[in-house]
Amino acid sequence: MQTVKPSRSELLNLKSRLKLAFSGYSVLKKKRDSLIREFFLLLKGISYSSAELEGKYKQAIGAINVARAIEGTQFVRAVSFAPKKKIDLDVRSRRIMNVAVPVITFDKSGQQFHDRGYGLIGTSGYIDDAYESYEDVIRKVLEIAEVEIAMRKLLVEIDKTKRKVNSLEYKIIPEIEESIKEVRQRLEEMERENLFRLKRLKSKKEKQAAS
Amino acid sequence: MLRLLRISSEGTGYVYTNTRVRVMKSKLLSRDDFEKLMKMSIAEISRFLEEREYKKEFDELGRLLSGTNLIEYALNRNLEDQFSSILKFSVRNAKEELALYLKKFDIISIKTVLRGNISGIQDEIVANELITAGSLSKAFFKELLERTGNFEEVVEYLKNTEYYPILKKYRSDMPTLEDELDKYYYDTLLKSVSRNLLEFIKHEITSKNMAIEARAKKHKVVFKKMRGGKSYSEDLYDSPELRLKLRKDFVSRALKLISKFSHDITPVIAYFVAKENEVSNIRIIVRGKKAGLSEADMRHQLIIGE
Repeated sequence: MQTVKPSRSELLNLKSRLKLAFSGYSVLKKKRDSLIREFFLLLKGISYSSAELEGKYKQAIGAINVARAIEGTQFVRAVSFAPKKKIDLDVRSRRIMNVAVPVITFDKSGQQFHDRGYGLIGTSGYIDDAYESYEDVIRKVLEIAEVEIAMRKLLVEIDKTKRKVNSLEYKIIPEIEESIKEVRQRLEEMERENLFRLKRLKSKKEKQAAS
Repeated sequence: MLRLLRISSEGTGYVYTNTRVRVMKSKLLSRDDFEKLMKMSIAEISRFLEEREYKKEFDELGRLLSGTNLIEYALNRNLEDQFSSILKFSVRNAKEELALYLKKFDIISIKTVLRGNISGIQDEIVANELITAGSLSKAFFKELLERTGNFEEVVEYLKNTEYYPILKKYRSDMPTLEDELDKYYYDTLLKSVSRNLLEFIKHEITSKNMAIEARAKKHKVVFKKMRGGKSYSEDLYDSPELRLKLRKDFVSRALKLISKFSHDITPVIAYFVAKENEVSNIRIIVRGKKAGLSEADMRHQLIIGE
């Protein structure tokens, strides 16, 4: 603990620091609580989305298995080489409690048939089913990625805020309070000493006057 | 030998080719064989096929592959070898018509090479997925992959093929290029094959038109029917049931033609369809077993002749 000068100005200084620490502590605690609330909101959404992704992935595996069984693995793989149009992604950011989180936007309606890169005559509905199922999986992965990145960033911020709150609650505020207590005691002691000294001076002067 | 030479030197070569293919037809798996396969494990299916027509292919690929992949690639290799050998021993008109029909494999392979090239897929991986059962050999495609680096070079390498004008015209639009190649294939068949086979081809085109119209409607794509197909009145929408129905109609028709005596090459083409169907049936059983499908589900997808 830093040694403090036992003076009235220092006491005032410490008191204002304590006030500031308390207000910071209250703001940070509110921020932490809000972050946790936002985190749980996202968590609720993502647990539903993860189950949905699992379902969609199982469906895609099923569709590709059917395509491989009916059309043959070599044919399916050959079609998979087709030059597909890439998904147009727009990644921006928004702020949750001053934490920058990504916003991924893309066309959720899926690609036009022509953008798949393969012809209509030489392929079949089984290939279309497999393509669409995997397109669904990718869309879901992108949706989840947006939420997951936001959650990770929130977690880091929650941790940081929690550390600040703890440090204020268990270290800085008790230390300032301790310092204030010490300065107060010192000041009281100094006051008593002064009073005692004045009393002694007074009695000395009275004795001198009497003699 | 002398007799064979005499037969092959007669007329169109249809009788000679049909007779030789009839022997091959007898080696196709029967309904009983498929029933047995349904009851077997994947390892047992491998052993069963090794003891049948597929031993050579299992031996060749056994070092590189295993399980369902070994079965599937061995089946395709066998199909390649059989179709190529039929094309090799057929003569005159029969050879010309068979070569025309098998060009579908050339077109599939050209499309695969072009797709792989645009998407930057390694040559080795592309080569593994080619089924070279047509007029263009495995060696041709190997050289094509080795000597070319980009799409333009592939197109230029194919300068001496009949596909060049289409490749050149539609080079910037891959889906249209693929469709134009397929249309060209059917147009060529319509122009060149004999009357009986023409009926079969028209039926195939009709079946394709129906399937494509159903898909086009589902995906809201404008599609002009291919020439040569018959008209139909059904209102079609793509579904697994429709696909299965069309596949069953087409294959069942071919399976009926396979044993009919004909003065043209139709029984051999029917054999091609039957062989592809055999490969497809085995694949459905093997992949179905691996994916844990029930026997009833697998049986529903199989097309087995009488």
